[in-house]
Amino acid sequence: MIAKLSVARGAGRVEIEAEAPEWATVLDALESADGTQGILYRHSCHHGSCGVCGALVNGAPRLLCRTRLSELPPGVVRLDPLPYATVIADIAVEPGPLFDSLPDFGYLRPPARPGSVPDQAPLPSDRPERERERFEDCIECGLCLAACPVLVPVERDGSDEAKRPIRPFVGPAALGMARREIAKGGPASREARAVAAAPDGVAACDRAFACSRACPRGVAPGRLIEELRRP
Amino acid sequence: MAFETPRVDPLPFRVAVIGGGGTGAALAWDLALRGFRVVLVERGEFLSGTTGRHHGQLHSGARYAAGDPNIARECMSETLALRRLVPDAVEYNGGLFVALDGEEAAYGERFAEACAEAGIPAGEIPPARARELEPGLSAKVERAFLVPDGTFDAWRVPAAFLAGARALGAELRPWTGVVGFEAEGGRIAAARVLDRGRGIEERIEADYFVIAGGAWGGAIGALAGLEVPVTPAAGSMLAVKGRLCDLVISRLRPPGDGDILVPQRGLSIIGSTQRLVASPDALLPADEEIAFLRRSGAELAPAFAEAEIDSAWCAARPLFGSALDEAGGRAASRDFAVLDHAERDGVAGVASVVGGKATTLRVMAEKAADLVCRELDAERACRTLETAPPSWRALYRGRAS
Repeated sequence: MIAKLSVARGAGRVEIEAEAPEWATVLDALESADGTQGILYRHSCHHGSCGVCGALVNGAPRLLCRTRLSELPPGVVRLDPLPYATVIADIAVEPGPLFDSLPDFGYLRPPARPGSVPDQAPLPSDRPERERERFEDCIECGLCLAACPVLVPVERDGSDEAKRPIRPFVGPAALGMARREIAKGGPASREARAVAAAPDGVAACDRAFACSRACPRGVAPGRLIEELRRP
Repeated sequence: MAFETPRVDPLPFRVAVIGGGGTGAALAWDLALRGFRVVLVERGEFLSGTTGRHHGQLHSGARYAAGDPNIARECMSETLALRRLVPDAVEYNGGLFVALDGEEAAYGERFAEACAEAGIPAGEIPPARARELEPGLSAKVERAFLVPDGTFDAWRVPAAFLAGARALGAELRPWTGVVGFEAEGGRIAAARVLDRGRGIEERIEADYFVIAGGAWGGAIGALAGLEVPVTPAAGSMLAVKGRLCDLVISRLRPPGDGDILVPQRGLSIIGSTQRLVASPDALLPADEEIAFLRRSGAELAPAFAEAEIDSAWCAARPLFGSALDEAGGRAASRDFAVLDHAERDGVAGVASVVGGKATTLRVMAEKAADLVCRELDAERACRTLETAPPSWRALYRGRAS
């Protein structure tokens, strides 16, 4: 199939066409078309694991690598940069505000046992299933920040002013991480409670649940924030 | 764990690293720790080439023990090093090698001996025990060996090295591609680069240049008239939704196509295929590769056949060598080399890192940095084995405009 993409470039746009298989993603189409147009876009893993390729697809925050062309309405696909981040060029951004908001909690569950990192290679034969390590599902892609109506108010007049946060808010990703750290009794539970209790924490959320709808990994930050509200 | 910026004794040399993939990231960190001033250029986003796309297996080396003992040993020691250095980006649940037929079962002896020789603990367990550990495993298992494989986050490990390099003052420049080199008296003196974000060309001077372009190394070297012996090979991977295993499951046979099942977050990934390609750019899996991978995954874990497909993608492997066998290069070593182009091409001031695997990124950087030290007569010991980098999150922190 021929994919037609309209990509933001500064105040204007660049229109491209790419030949792509039926099952291809927006990222696949961009890859095929790059080279001639020199479009700047972030990407890395191509399977929804690194969280790098977020952008607005037809106005909605999505991962380019997890958005199939076949699931979009026919016609031109509009691509714009994530609104909370600093644009480098085209749809490539510096995701600084996302990472500024995230605390450095550990990333595996269950928490690693103290002293459990030996210098010898272990044979995992006696390790019960419940002790296996797993990466958290949150891939730190920032789509929840881009979807949040507190952080990115719906644009009314097209001015930059309208995109400023309504109030200081640490954001759904950081609060989701805080909730998980507390739930698993992690070493940073106290710090996590402080993140949640701060004025820009749970209290700043308007309960729109746009974060949960935007999350490409089913983390449901909105539900985790609700859990943090309970005493 | 707060990161304390390591103390560094500065050297009066500037080293340019061309390429911001796994190797370039580890090299920038290694050189910065030794005291070099580092500038790294990457034509796109960091890790947008090969390392970021890999399925995430942290190799114990068992896969290579019988055919390639050197890379097997290196994999084992690097697996332990990465687990210690970047613990939050490693799932260390182990791996299982399983025989699904008589021929594979007969390979068990050779496999066990080779693992023992390479210093990789491999313990045979009864098939029933293997299926207890991994209930999703095929009922056809005839033999099973536990090995210390794991998985790692292909973005976060190298991103942590980049963040560490930046903390030590390295100048990291994504969206900046090399368009040419300038030589003076038989020595590379500068690289001409295009800053794609600003649309301007610049000159980057350095005392030494290292091409860490992976599968793109040949094209980068050609800009300086160098022959960098790298052959790009396309490796396709297929992910289904759901975690069908927690251990990495491999076929008990010599490395081939469709023989590793890797859990990664909520996905199960089967890897991979291999075909030589002319260009490493814009690779997509072929339909027949996807169908083959679907069947191969189901041989290891039957639920793979019906699970919903999440994604299919392709990465460009950098095979070391230019004259590879016709079978798609599987016989090519996954070992790596650091090439001094003064010796090879009569052009001084530049080296290339070729070949290798994501698991061995740190040691590839160590060997390349050792060469830089020798060439600039600035002997400094490698520090990356005992210095943990900061969180990958630091790579983008504090950079809002």
